[in-house]
Amino acid sequence: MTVATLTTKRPHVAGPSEPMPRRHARVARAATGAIYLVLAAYVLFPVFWLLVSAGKPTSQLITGDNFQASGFQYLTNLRDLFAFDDGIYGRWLLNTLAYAGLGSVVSVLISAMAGFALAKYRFRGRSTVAGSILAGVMIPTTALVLPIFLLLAEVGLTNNFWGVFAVSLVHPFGVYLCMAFADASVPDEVLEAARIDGASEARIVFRIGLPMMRDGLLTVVLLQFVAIWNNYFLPLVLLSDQTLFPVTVGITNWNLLSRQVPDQYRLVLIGALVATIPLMVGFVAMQRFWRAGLTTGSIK
Amino acid sequence: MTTIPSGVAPSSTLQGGTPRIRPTLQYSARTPWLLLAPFGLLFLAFFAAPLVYAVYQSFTRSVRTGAFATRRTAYAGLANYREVLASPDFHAAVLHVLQYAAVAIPVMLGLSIGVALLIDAALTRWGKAIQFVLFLPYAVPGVIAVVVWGFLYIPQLNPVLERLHGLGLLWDPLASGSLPFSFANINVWMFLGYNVIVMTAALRTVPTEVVEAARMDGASLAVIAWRIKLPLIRQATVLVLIFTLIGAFQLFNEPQILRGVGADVDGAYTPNLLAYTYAFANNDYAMAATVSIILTVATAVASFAVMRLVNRAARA
Repeated sequence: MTVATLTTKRPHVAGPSEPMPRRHARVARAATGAIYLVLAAYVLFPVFWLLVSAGKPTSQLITGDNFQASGFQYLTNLRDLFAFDDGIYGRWLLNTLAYAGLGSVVSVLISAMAGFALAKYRFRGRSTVAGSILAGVMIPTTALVLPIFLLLAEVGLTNNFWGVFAVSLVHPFGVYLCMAFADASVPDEVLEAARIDGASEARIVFRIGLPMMRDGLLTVVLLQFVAIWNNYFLPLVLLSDQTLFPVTVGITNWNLLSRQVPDQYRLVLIGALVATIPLMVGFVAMQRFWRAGLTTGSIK
Repeated sequence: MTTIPSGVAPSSTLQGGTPRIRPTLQYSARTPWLLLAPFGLLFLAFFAAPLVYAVYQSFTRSVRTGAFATRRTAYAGLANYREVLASPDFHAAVLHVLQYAAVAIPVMLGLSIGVALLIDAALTRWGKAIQFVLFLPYAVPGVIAVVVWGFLYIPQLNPVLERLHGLGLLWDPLASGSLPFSFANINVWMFLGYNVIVMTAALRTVPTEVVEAARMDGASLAVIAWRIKLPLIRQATVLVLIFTLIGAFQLFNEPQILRGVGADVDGAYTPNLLAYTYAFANNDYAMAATVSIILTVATAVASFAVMRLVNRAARA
């Protein structure tokens, strides 16, 4: 039996350094590669399909000729997308940007304050508060959407930008993450030293504590941004005025419409592509923060 | 920003009263509550209050009384709960959720654990790349993913399905028997990458010495994966299991959107869709609230039960 010599040292990674016949190792590697290829094809196919189909005329979409190499008309489709119904799509995009952009920043600020308080202060009632926020993590928001609608209807806040905006600020998981980040990245000694030097609590929180959590907070901003950008059930239930819709609700409405008006398919596809690209780009650009956030939330 | 500002005069911004020199290491009891206030108030308004209000609604019923048949709300006891739990619509909805879970949970768990073990075994240098590619669909807004898959489930529009049909494999993803698979596929596509990241992160915490020692003893990669790594990533497995389970209970987007493109789905296909139909097709808010409460309780109980079961099994 030949003992493999492929014991290349790979720190931190459980590498294939155990004795294994070289031929077996090669087969295992080829099989792994093949599995990765199949998985990548599965994951990328719908994205590729959307990318290609979004540039096609309705005639090719309906007949299923959308994978033909000819007939691309991205610019026409884009122009029609933003011209349709007095530019309602642009309005939806701006709404989504407002809900997600403004919402994620405000949400992370209030979550960070709450998380910092729970992690770094000892006070009576602390465990009760932390406990109810953790219970909130377990309760899925979709189950709450209808009750929220009923409650907001009582106070006349349905079909209102600020109604949707305010509800999407509440993200118990964000507070939980901020608690973990404060715990991990803000040493008590620093806060104590600041207090000895006579810094005010406001200064300690906003100038010392939160800045030390910067990387973690950025992760929470990203998570929140995507969560609000993806929001569908909440705005679907709360809003009826289409000028307030985020892009998700608008596109699905068009999708329903396209059963009667086939030319709408074209706009659904190019609209779906335009709504997806910013997030994809953001993901690729900010990979580092994603990993940090996902793993902090899960290992504990 | 780790420098500590020194020589700053003690301020009273968060204390209200007269400025005073604080003894070291003390802070006003109000400080943490002020920090908690913004989130806390929103949490009370949009999390706790709706829950309480829904519970209240679920015990009421709108009745018409008097000569003018004016509507008024009356206490209904458990009547709404009895009605929901006895309704065939609700039974069908629960059955659909169970069918979906029976497909989605094993596929999601199996694939995410399998792929994570492959990446962790580091047989190729492509682990990081595949991890990233699998994660990409997470950037596609959920409903847009459903809309796109809705197109791909129509054979004329999907070259792969079209090929299969050409070969005589007439599989219709939108037929009622296929729906649990079609819905599960969309969710696996969206969340597999997320779960793989969770699993690989957990695998990285498996001590290298333990794995090395097993290798010295001549254990194969498969044995190491099964006997050493799997038991050590129990926590992450439970997490993925609970996420998938909650996803099953909450199923809404897929049936609601694919209904529009011809899937064999009615307005009571899942409990969430049933609640939506009660509220907006029937204007029966009490019944909608009842379904929401049942759903919330069922989700919490199921998550809790899974955690307990797995932990007990681990101790035994």
